[in-house]
Amino acid sequence: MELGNNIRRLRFDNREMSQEELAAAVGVTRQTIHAIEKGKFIPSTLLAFKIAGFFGKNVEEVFHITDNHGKK
Amino acid sequence: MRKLINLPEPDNRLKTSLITTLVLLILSSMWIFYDLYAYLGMRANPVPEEFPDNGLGIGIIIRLVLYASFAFMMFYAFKSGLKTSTLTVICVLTGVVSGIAVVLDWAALVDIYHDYRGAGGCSMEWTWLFISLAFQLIFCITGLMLVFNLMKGKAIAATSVKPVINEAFYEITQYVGILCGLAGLTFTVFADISLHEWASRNWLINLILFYCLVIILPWLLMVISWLLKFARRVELSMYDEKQKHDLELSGLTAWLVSIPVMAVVFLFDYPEPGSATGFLWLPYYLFSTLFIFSLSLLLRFRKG
Repeated sequence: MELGNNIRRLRFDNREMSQEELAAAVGVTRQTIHAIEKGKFIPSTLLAFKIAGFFGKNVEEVFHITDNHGKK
Repeated sequence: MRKLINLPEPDNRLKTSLITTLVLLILSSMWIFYDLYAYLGMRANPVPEEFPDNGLGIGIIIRLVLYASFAFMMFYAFKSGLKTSTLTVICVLTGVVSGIAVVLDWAALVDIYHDYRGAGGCSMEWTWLFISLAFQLIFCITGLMLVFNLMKGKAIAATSVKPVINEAFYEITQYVGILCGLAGLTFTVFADISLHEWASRNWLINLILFYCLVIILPWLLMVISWLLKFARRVELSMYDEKQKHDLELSGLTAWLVSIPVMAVVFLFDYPEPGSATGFLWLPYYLFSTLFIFSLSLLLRFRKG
């Protein structure tokens, strides 16, 4: 089981926002956003809420649990 | 008329430090050739009374002022959003090496002076001095390229977003940590081998501990400036949560690796109670953990 996310798609839907802009908006580094997008780092609950709030979504709409084959 | 320095108006301190560093880099580059000429002359005609010590001394002072100016320039450049590029990394690393080398160059020159008076050989000192000149040359060339890039605004990130935490500074701190750790370990191993028979000469041990302090200084200054920025609230947070996570894992890795490393150091000198390791355990521990810690942090940072 892994934590998947739609951050990349949401960024592009949001006037092709860069990782740097999102990072500055939620108060982390670009490297952290990159690691979360790639599924290499699981964010804290607080950061997950911040990211979801920034896009005006619920946490479940941004993050989801996937099995090892990438299925939701 | 085209502006010579293409930077936003508030960066006056960066402009001043850029111009000062540029002038000092040009002076220092010219002095490298003077040093080379003086070294070749000294090696060919080893009469200590005829050494051009004033010229070499002025060169060392220029280099010291250059490193201070370069440090200020990098500090303001990082604040303005300097991008981490291969050029920046090479420039900082060669700057750190040649900065440490000032002290070692001085020691080598003093050794040569005494050895020549005693009619002894000093091929190792000469090898070191020429290697040091090569590092200075690389530093001057990359430094000049970096200064020109900064003046044209090419090395500054194009984005208008101000990062919460300076990633370039964080990454370069790890490179400097790796370099200081490796340099310190090499120096300590060399000291251990050389001092085996005269471990009771405390002043020599103290001298080595002083050199160890010099070697760790660049990394220490970067960490102190980080702490000062945090204390002055220039940056909102010292690290973000992934960096904290990486720091925890790297701290654990460094601690776990330090146990077998120190066990090996202990085993090697166990049969000789009067060995130098009795004094040198601290630099062994310090530099091995610094090296592993910085390497682990950098790998985790690059991996994403």
